[in-house]
Amino acid sequence: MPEEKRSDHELIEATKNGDESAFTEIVTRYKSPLTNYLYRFLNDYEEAVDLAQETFVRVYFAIDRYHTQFAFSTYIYRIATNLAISEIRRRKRRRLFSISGLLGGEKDDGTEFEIPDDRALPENELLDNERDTQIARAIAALPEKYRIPIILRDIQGRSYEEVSAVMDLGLGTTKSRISRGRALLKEKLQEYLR
Amino acid sequence: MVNMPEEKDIEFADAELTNLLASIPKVSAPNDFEFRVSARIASTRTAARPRGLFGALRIAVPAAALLAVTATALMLNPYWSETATVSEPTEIAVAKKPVEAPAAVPGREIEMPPTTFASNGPSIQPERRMTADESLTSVSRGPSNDEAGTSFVESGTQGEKIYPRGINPNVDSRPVSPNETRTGISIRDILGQLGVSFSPTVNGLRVDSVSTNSVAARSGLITGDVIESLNGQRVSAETVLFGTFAAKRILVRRDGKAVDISLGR
Repeated sequence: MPEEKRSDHELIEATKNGDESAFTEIVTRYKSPLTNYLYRFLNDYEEAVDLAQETFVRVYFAIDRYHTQFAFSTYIYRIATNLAISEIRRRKRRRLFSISGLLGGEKDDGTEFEIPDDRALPENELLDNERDTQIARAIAALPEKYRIPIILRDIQGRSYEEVSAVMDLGLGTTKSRISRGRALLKEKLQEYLR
Repeated sequence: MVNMPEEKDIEFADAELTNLLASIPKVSAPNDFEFRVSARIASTRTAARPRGLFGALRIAVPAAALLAVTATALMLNPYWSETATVSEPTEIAVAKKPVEAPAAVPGREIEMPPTTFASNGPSIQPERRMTADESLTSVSRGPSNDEAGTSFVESGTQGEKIYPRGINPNVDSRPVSPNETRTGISIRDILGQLGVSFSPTVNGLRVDSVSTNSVAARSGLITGDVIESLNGQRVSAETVLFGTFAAKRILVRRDGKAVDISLGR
């Protein structure tokens, strides 16, 4: 009879009690979803892997502060999101350029843009056709506030409730942002929508 | 009142897009992901661990060794030593009071600047040490007012004598031993510089010769004179003078008569 799979909370408790293999199991369970999430967020595979590892390190050293009344997946996505946002802001400071400041548009009216990252995607071999490349670039060009819920909901398959918990927003605001993000994507990906 | 869209409505309206997004390939983490996470955790744990005494020594010992090597190199470097000496402020020690004022002969005034000698001890024995009210001060080097140009020490303004660096007649830094042989200036050297060569006799020092155009010759000392005292102090062939003093007068016996000769002309 196969051994029953332990829940996230059980693994966390075991880790708190010094079971290093339990934490390794958590890493194995979440490493690919987290890497994929960060990859779609940053459009940079190496950076995504680096931040995913950093996420697990932070989880490990803060594991005593984790309360099991929250879903572990929410907790770990939230940490990863914060790290990714910090990374993007660091990139912005490096570029010293933001078109949203020049336009001066209202933040929530959809006139906020980010400069798409036109660098050649190092993971081109992973995208087997032009369509995937265009989708990846369209997602990466979304403003953060739309990009995060779109990736979590439509690519990672998280529930609306979980997305709102990760973003620390109300459910209505989360749905609104998802809706707005999809509208922006439809405009960019019209040729693939029939 | 704004009606929130139902999830089913949203998904239905956006089904085509969500299917498109769900169709893009997902990337996976590298195979060594767990190993790299473990390595990072170990590295972070090591960095956060307090170093303790061993950790402090790991820094302190090389730092001390580096400091010692640097200090030794600087001390052994002659260029550095010279530079350090030159860069010091030009100051010289000054004794506020004259070290020794030889007793003046009543009724006679010093007409010429004295001929001054210096050694590493007080001029007239016994040696004396500087008292508390004779504290040393430092002044900038000024022009010498020793017009005779025969002084071994420089004279400052307002009657203060300025001694070259290293010569301080008031201070003997060495411990004094009764049996210690101290470096002084012999009477033969002093008289030799005045231009006198002599032979010791029972009554004093008989002048054998006087150099032409010397201080002694210009002052009137002649061959055959018997020198009895210098600045009022009786002298013999063994007399050794310490410190700084001015050779001002010399008492000789000439043809049985005492003759007081003022030096410096």
